[in-house]
Amino acid sequence: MIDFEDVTVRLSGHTILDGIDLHVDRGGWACLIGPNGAGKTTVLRSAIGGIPFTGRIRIGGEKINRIDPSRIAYVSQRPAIPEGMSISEYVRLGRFPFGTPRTDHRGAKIVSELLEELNLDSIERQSVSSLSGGEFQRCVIARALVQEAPVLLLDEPTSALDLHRQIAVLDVIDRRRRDGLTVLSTMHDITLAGMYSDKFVVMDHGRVVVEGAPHEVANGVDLMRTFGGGIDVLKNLDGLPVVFPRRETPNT
Amino acid sequence: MCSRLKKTIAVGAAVGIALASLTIASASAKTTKPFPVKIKTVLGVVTIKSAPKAIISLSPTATEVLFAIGAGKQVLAVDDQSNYPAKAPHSKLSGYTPNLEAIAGMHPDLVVDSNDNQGGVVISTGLAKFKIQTIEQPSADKLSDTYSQIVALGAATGHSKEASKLVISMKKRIAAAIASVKNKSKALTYFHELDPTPYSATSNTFIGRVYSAFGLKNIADAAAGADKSGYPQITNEYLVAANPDLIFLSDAQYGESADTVKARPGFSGLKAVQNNDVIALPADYPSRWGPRIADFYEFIAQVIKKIG
Amino acid sequence: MVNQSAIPHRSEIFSDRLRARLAPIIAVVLLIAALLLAVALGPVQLDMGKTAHTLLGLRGGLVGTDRTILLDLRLPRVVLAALVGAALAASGSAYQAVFRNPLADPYLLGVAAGAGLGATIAFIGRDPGVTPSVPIFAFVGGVVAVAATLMIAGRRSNDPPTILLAGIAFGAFATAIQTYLQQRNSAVLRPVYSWILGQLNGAGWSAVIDVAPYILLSLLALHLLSRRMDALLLSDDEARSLGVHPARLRMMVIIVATLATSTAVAASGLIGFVGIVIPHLIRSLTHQATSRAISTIAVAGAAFLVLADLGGRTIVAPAELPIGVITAFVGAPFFLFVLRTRGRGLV
Repeated sequence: MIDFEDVTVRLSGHTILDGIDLHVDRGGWACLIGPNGAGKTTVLRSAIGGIPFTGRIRIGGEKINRIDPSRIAYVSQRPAIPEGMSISEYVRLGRFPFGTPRTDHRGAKIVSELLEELNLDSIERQSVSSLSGGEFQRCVIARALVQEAPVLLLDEPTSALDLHRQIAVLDVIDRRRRDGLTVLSTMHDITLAGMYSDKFVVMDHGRVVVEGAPHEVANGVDLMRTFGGGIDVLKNLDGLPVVFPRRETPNT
Repeated sequence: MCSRLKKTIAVGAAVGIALASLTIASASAKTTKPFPVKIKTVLGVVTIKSAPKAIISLSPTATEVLFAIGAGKQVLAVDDQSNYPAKAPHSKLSGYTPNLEAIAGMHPDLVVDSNDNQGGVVISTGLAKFKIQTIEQPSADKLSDTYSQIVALGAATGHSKEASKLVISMKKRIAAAIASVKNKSKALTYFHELDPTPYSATSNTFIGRVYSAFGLKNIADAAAGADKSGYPQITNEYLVAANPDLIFLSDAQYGESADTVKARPGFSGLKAVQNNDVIALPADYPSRWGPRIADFYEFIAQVIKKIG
Repeated sequence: MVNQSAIPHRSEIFSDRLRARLAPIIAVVLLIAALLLAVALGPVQLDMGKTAHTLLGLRGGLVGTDRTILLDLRLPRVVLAALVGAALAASGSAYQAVFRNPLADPYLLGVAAGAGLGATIAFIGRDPGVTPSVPIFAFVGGVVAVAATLMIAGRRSNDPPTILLAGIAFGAFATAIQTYLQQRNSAVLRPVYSWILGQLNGAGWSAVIDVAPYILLSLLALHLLSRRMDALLLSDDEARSLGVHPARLRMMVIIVATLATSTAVAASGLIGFVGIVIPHLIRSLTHQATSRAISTIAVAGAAFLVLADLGGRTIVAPAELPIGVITAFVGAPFFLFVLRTRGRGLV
């Protein structure tokens, strides 16, 4: 569904992406992993047309400059917080590609369903500029989901959410994979990423270092090397990898 | 006679003659010697010790006065706005943005201005540092101010006689102009336009008083409350409704004319427009208060005479 | 979890949908009322019955000077006030959306400074027989200012803060030139000053005809663009994923809003506050996002300026009070009020 072929991005003399090849199947969830500055956000931004690149990016087989960009929903790492808008108005913005409320018959229903799913319905009249970080992040995800796009790009979607909400929100997204939603995300929490994605893509300095199934990559040597050896990998009760940073203790 | 008595008489006579001649001398000094002279100005009393020979005028009106009273030869330079008389020695000096160093650099012995305090610069105080005297003659409020200013400049330059003559002749001409149209002018209304927005001058201004001397009625007086200094902006609606007999354009020098007035919305039906009584005023008249004000009175008399 | 709906809410009284539907209707009603009032009142009292007859084209209407006053002076002035008010309010609202800045006003990109400079040049160039057209010079000045601003912003003219700074820079430059010219030509001080305060006094039908097509076209364009302007409230990447071209849209909105503002300024000088107070007021009353309410904002702006102009003609009659003074007097307290209610965090 998502195909990157030899994608290179150069900005003011620096090479940010260097020949990226990437493939995500329909209904799949690939997660970009790597240190800061590896180019993960740039991969997402180039898919949405925000950055000039060389190479080819295809969505559903079509080049991205040919398709309707609203077929790609995007959750930014630092979304803009508009003034003077209520939560329901903000989430409704996601229905923009479907026209005015008059032409978009399903819109109201979709929006209210999603507000409920993400527990925003009780505060839907509140202004988005007055929300906590976590509440606003849920709004952004809601807005992306009401767009009903077949591809979802997520840049650090759970950074402001508490442990429970992280799972709740990612579950909402995961459910939609059954209807064919394809997800490409970046996440610093590798453990959490491993619970949902079916492919890890490890990046460093603008290149793909290794890719594969989460438990393989997590236990692999390349991940360790990318993070400079400073991580520990264990298994949780479900056999999923648990990755956390190692701290050198002065003595035992 | 004994020699002692002769001596006493001689000394007494000598003292007497000396005293007498001193008295006579001082008496004649009062009547014949024009300097030193004390001039009362807005800034206080200015004592002029001797006839100034290098006068700088920063006021177009003062320039006109100086030349009209025969002091032209004593004028060193006039400001950039002084355009009358043409023979006045022009310079780039400005009365609005005065450059003290430039003024002092020309070594005048007297400076006449109309706007002494420019906010940031006080000309008289600044020039005092160069030991140059300044006489301020601000814009006149009424005709008598004009006369006093002419007399003052006459005394300051040693031309008191000519100054008095000028004042007398002006008074005569003005009285004659007013008398020549006495009956006609009392019934007429007028509007004096400063710019097309339209700003006007009420009867409570110098120029307004000129018209009032003829008995003309100013339609802008109804708006007098709007501006304390007498220059309100009035609405076009009111102007059209008031329908003045005469419209005087002091903005003719900026392109306004009977034709432009006629073209304004709603103005084509006005009395003044239809009877060709929209009068373009020559430049300078409305903003000066010098000797040529007598010309202005005569001009208005002519206009009134022509009204059908 | 705290039940947030326990917080008392003003909008419970009228639901948002209801407000959104009622708002345009109320605005139109207000405009009609303002127009009627403005035509009926003025420094010269006109007979009401005859006025109505004249307007409806019936016999028994006003004659002579009164008729001239109504049809050639008062009516075009009222219409012009409505057009200018609509243009300023709508373009103010558009700029606020494009720059994501609730303090943006129509004069932001140097339009005021450019138009003022143009007008000053026109006033200076007056000579017997030569009267350069102040409106045309002002219009050109305004448009040149925005073009210069965009050029200064250069490659980064996609970035709202950059454009704003460029606008401030150019505005300062143009104002400096204007001040210099005024100092050298002190005779133009008063006409320029009164032009800056805003002026509808000399308006006739020709002014209305000159101005109406541009303003109406711009208003229509802004209305059509308004839905897409909502997307500009998000970051550029997010807007792209909604199917909008942020840079292109921004440029289009700026061009249309500048056209509307420059035309308004050419017709009536610099009238302030309309472009900033009316959008805020309507938004806080209708709880609608910036761009949705743009038509309501335009109509409200028209009504506001018609009433302000009525004040300008009547408060110190028969003298004229510059309209910029009235909009400031009314606008400033309104602005304070809106600022205070914003702080509560409710929309």
